[in-house]
Amino acid sequence: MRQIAAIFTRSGGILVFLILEVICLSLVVTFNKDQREIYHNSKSIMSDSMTHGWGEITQYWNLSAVNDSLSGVIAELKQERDEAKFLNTIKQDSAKYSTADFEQQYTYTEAKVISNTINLPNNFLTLNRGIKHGINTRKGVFDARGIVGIVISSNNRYSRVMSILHRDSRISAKIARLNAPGTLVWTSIGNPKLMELKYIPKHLNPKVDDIVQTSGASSYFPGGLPIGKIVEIEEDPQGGNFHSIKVELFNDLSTARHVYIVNNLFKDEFKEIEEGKEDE
Amino acid sequence: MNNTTLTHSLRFLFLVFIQVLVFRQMTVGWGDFNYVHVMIYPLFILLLPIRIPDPLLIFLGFLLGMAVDIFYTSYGVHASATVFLAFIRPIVLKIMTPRGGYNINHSPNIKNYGFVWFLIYSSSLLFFHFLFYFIVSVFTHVYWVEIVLRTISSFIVSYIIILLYVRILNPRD
Repeated sequence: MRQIAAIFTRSGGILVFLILEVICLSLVVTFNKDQREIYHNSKSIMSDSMTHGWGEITQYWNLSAVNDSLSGVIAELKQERDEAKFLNTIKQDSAKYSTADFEQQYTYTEAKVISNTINLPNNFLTLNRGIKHGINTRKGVFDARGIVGIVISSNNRYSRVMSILHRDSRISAKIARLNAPGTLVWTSIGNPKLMELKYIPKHLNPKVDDIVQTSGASSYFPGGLPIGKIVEIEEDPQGGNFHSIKVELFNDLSTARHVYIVNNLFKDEFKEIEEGKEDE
Repeated sequence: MNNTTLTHSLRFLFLVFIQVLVFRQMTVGWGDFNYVHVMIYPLFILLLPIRIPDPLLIFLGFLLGMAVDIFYTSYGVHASATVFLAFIRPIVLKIMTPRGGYNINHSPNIKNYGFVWFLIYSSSLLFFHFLFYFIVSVFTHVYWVEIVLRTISSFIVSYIIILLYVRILNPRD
């Protein structure tokens, strides 16, 4: 008891001061018109900004869920574009094609990268989509800025993707400005940003900064997906007929997370004609 | 009720009395230019004996402020300032302890500690009182220029009057 009294005499001043000051200020905002209005305004501004600030913080918590749902929406939107469609009608005049002339050729399935390597000579990714989601054959995989690889095997829920950073990877690509098709291979092992575009004939004149796209000549990717840009052009050291072109990828495969799997609905027909079954 | 208590009680009544009867009218009478609020009632807190316990001092500050507030119909505005003044008085006293220390039965006035000492003591306390008063009175940082202007002008005018009061009546313990 004596100790409490001692504490009170030592710090009682602060206590009484705080109590009386709170009483005074509550009197101020209760009985004085100006101060009351300012107080209530400030209070609502404060609580508004606090609610707002809290919202800003909490919106980061579900950002990953938002990303997932957005990538689903992007997949749907991508397949609405003309590049994903097959032009059926043959027109004599140059009138514009209507939507009825197009048939859906490609659909896209969004997927998340579960695991990923970039440092090995042969790299693979694992995706969280499998046979359950309609992924069962070899299919192309790309992300928002470039291409990623090709699905090589699937089980019920997961798929294995051969990365474009794989020694056996061959991607049909073209230089957009020249419409010149070539083959994209990965020769610079250890550098996940750099690939090589082969079989561009010497009579063509590629330039640094030309854009490289998918050619559409394979059944894996629709034509015109961006891949990268040319950073270096060399003469073939063996004196061959082709340029040796270094391509810097637009995307960074080390951070690939949201990807899209290409479902080519006309794949079988395309394969059939390419493999020459027609003369049987 | 001994002699000291009676003195201070009478001073309390007298200061509140002339504050609300004389100086309240002055601020009203000056019309548009209401930057000057003459306040002399804080002198009561300044002149209380040094030995008074802090909680009692602060409570007396509250009483004084509320007494003035009732006549100004600004409940809490003056009181919050006088409570603050009473709270910082022991701190200022501690900082300004003279060489020989305080005689706890004394009041901090000119007779006991000299004119210069009282000048610094009272001016520093009063300045904070005015600043706090105008902060609560204006109640928004938007008009901080107004707060500063009012504090300085009111402080100067009031301080002159308080010094005159102390010189003429020369309050003792």
